[in-house]
Amino acid sequence: MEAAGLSTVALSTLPDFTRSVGAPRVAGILHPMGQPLGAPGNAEGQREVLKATLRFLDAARSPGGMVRLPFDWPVPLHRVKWHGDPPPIARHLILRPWLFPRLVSGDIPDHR
Amino acid sequence: MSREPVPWTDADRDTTLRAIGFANRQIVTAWTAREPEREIPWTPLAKPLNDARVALVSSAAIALRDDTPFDQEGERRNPWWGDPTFRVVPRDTRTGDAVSCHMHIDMSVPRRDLDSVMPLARLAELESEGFVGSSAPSHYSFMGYILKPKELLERSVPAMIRQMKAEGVDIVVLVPV
Repeated sequence: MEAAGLSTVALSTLPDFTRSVGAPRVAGILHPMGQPLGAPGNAEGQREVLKATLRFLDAARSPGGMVRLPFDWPVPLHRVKWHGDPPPIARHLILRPWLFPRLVSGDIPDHR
Repeated sequence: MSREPVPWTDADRDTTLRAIGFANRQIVTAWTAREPEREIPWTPLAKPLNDARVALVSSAAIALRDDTPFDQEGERRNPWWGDPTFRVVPRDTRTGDAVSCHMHIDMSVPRRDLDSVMPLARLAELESEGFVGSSAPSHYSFMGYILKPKELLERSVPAMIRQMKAEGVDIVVLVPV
């Protein structure tokens, strides 16, 4: 996208990972995975996060920048509960734990 | 209220890794370490924010209710596979107009408030108050669990870029979930 003349900024709850794949401007945020802008219904917080993300883009002057946007979550992130079923790969690997190293190493079985 | 960003620290990284649990921590740490050093592409922002057109890209697999949903059945059949297509999400899309089909996130979040993952309403507000020039006509979503991203990178992303350029987009806000 940058090569096509678009200025990008990533808002990420895993910024080290986002940065590793070559994103030029990464705004890290200590929010739970799956709700980067903020909790459902918190319009004011979401608006401030989006503004801070855009301001960071506007201020960035060189590639590779990574910052933390100064927003907190009301409970420690490792205590945030996840609502939903485990994804298919989790159920697949619980029954076949010897395949887990292939997922970690990126040795992905051929598709279909 | 203006709050300044601060440097991202190793302690922050550890907080994010602790939050995602043991198995995901093994995966993300290994994948991050395996990425090669590369030249980072760079386009400086050529105009002020209040003159720029903004598009959002969400990896939360958001699709309009009357659009083709992302293929969850294919992933159930082969858990190593993920749907590599993308959907256009028009600027006026609001919570309830679209669904998330991403089995690796808490789908109850976008069901209750689309803006937690794809802030189209918030972006429209920033347009109204003149903080940004405009919200683009089209925004984009794909499903973020794709272990072999060849088709995503070679077909979906170029198609998104073509439409962004045709619609005069200046800024892309990427929101991985």
